[in-house]
Amino acid sequence: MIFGRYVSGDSFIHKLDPRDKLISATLIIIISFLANEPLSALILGLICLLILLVSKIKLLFFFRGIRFFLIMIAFTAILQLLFANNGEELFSVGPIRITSFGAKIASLTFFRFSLAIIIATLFTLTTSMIQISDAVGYLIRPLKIFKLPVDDIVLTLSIALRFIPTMLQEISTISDAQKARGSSLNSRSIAKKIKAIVPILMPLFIASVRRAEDLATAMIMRGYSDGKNRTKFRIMKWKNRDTLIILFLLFLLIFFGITKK
Amino acid sequence: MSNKALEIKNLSFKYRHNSKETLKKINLSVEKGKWLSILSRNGSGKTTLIKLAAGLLENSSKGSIKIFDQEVNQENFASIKEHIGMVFQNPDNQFVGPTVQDDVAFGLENKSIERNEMIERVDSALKDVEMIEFANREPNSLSGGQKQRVALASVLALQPDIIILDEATSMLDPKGRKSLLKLVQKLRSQYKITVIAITHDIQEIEQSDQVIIIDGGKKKLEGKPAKILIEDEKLESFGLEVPFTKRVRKRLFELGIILPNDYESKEMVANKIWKYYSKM
Amino acid sequence: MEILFKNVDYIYQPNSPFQFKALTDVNLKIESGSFTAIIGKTGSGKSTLIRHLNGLLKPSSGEVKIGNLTITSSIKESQLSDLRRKVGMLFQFPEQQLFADTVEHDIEFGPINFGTTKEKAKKIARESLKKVGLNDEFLNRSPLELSGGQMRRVALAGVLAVKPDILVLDEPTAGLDFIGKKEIMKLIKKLQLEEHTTIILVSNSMEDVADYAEEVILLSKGKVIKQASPNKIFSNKEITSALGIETPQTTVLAEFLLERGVDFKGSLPINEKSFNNFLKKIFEEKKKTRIL
Repeated sequence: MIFGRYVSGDSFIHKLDPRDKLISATLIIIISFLANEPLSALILGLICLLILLVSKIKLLFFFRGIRFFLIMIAFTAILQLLFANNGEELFSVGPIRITSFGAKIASLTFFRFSLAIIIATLFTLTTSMIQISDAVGYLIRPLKIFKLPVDDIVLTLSIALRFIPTMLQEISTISDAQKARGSSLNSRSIAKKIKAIVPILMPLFIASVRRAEDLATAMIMRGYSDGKNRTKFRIMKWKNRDTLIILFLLFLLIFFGITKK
Repeated sequence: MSNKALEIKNLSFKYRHNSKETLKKINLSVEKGKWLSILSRNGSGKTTLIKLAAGLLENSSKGSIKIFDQEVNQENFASIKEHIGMVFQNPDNQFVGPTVQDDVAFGLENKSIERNEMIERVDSALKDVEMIEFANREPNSLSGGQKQRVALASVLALQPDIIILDEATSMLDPKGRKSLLKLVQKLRSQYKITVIAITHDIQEIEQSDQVIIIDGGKKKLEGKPAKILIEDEKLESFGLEVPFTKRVRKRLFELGIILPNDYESKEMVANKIWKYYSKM
Repeated sequence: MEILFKNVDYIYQPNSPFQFKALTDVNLKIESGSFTAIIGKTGSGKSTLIRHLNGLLKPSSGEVKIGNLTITSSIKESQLSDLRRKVGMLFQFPEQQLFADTVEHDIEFGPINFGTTKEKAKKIARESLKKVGLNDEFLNRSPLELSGGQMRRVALAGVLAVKPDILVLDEPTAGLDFIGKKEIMKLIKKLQLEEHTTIILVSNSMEDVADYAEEVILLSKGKVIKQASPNKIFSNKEITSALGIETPQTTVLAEFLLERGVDFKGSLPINEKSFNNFLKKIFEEKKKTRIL
C-alpha cells in the first residue's frame, strides 16, 4: 500500500506549490465526473499519465502499490456490468445479460474511481506531509472569520504529522517485543488478535502521554505561549506555472461542463 | 548584568505526594560563563533541582533561587526563561519541527523574529553545531546524537545566557555523548554561555569548572573536577563510578608503587608510570 | 542451542524506492552456552541481525539455523512459536514496553502466552523477580511507579519468565547509572554461568564487551567484518581504527605505555583483570632485568 506515503524527489510535480497540487487534484477528480464520453475520458486519462511520467515515480512500484484499490474498483465495475439490465442487449451467456447501459456505467465507474485513486496517490507521493499540512493550513485560513483557531490547528496538525513516523517506529518495536514474548498478534483468531493489541496500545499510550509532557515543556522553554503573533519560517511560493495549471484545469472543467450531454 | 548566573540559597523541596523531602537545604552558586556539573546516581533529586531552577516547578520553600539576581517564581517566569535554554534527555520528545531547520526556527517564530533574520540565525546555529548539511532532513532520519545537536542549535538560536543539559547525553552512545559534550564546551567558550549539566556519569564532569554531588537530596561534595575525582571512597558511597585512572593508581599501590594522588588523564598517568618504570 | 547463519541477506521493503539491504552474506556460528557480543556502529545491521534469532525477521535469502529449526524466507509464522519460547529478547529501553497494571501481570504475560497455567505463571513471576534482584513487594505495584532501573529489571524478569535457552539483549544498560549498569551486567553473566543460557549482547560499551564477552561479532554496513575473541578484536588496530570502534580504556593505557618503551610481549590487556596482570608482569620483568 503506497497511498499516503511520500517519495522525495525533485521532479516538476514535486516542485509545484502544494496548494496548487491540492486544488488541482480536487479539480481533476471533479472533472472526471463530468467527463462521460470516450474523448473527454481519454483526454483526462492522458493528463494523468503525463503527470505520472513527469513525477518520475517508478511505474511498476506505483501500480503495484495501488493494485489493491484497482482490483476492488474492477470488482465493483463487474458487478455493475452483470446486474445493470437496462438498455439494449449486447450479448448474453446463459442467465448473464450484458447490456450497453451496463457496459457504460461499468466503464465509467472503473474510470472515475481509478482516476481518483491515481490522482490522490500521486498527490501524496509527491507532496510531503508537512507540505500538505501547510497547504491545508493556508486554504482553511478564511475560516478565521468564524473564530476558528486556524494557526493552532495547523501547528497541532504539523506536530502530529511529525510524530507519525516516530510512533510507527514505536509500534513496530513494541509489537516485536511482545511477539518475542509469545503474543499472538499474528494469530488467525480475531479474539486472540484483539487481546494481543492491548499490550501494544498500552505502552504506546503511556509513551505518548510522556512525550506530550516533554514536548510541552520543551515548547514552553522555547518561548511558545498562546500561538499568537508568531512569525513564519516556512513559506510557500506560488509561481506563474501554478496559476497556469489551475487556469487550464478550470478551462477543462467549464469546457466539459458545457459539452456534457 | 550580575556576575552570578544562578544562585540558590537554602532550598528544600517536597513533592505533594511524597512524605520525604526530595531536596534538603541546597546552597549553590554559579558564575557567569562557568560550567557546573551536578552529579548523582539516579533518583537523588537532581532533575527536581534543575526544574526548580528553570521555574518549571514552583518553589514552595523558604529558600531562594535567583537567575542573574532575579528571583525565580511564577511572575518572573517569562523573563527567567529568556535567559535559559534547555536540552532534555529524550532526543525525540523535544523535536517539534518537521525538519531540522524548522525545529531550530520554532523558538524564533515564537519570538516573532522577522523571517530574514530567522533564516540567518537558523543557519548560523546549525553551522555552530555542525548540522548545516542536515538542514532539510526529517527527524526520523537522524541518529540520537544528531537530534541532540539539533536540540542544542534550537536553544542556541535563541541566544541564551545559560544552557541547561538535563541528562542530555544519557540516551546516546559513547561517541555521540563525547561529541555533544565537546560541542557544548566549544560553544560555551565561544559565546560565554553558562552551562549547567546534570548527569549520573562521572566521565562527563571532566570539562566542568565546578562539580557538586548530590545524594539523598543533600549536597555532599563540591569542588573542581580534579578535587572530586580523587575522592574514591566517597564516590563509591554515593553510588558513583571511581575513575579508571584512580583505579589504576590503587592497583599500582598494591604493587608497591606510589604515585601522587592527583586526578589525571590516561596519557598523564601513562607518563608517570613510564617515569617510574624507566628509573627502576 | 547452537546458532548458525548461512549466507543470510536481508532486504527491507524490496522492490520499492525505499528498498534497503540491511544484511549482506552473513555467515556466523554462535555456540550453545557462550557469551557473544555484537558490536558495530548505528546502522551496521545489529538490530536486523538479532531479529533473525527469533524469527521476527526472516532472511530474504540464505538460512538461519537455531537448534534443529531452519528458518528460511518461506517459513510459516506458526512454526516459530516454539522458537520464541526458547529465545528471549530484551529490546532497547525495554521499560517502554511494560503494559500491565501490576508487575506480576506483566511478568506473567510471556508464560501465559506460551501456555503455562495461571497458577504456575504466578509462581514463575515470583521466581523471575527474585532472579533480577527484586523482592515480592514489587509484585503488586504498578510498573509505572518504579524507578528507571527497577523498570528495566522488571522487563528483564518478563523475558526470563519463559526460561529461554538463548537470551538476546539489545543495549541492556543504556541510560542506567553506574550501579544500575553493573547490576544488570552481573546478572546476565550469572545467567550464563549458572543456567547455561546462551547470551547474545548488543552493546556500545566496549568495556562491557571486554569484561563479559567470550566472542565478538563485528558488523559494518550489514556485513560481518570479523568474529573473534574480544582480545583479538581490540588488539587489531587496523580494524578498530578503520571502523571507528573505540577500544577499552585499559587497552588505550597499555598502548600508551608500550609506545613509551615498556617491554611487554603478549596480547594487550582489554579489561581490568588482564590490565592488572599486565602491570604486575611489566614490573616483575623489569625487576628481573635489573637483577641480571
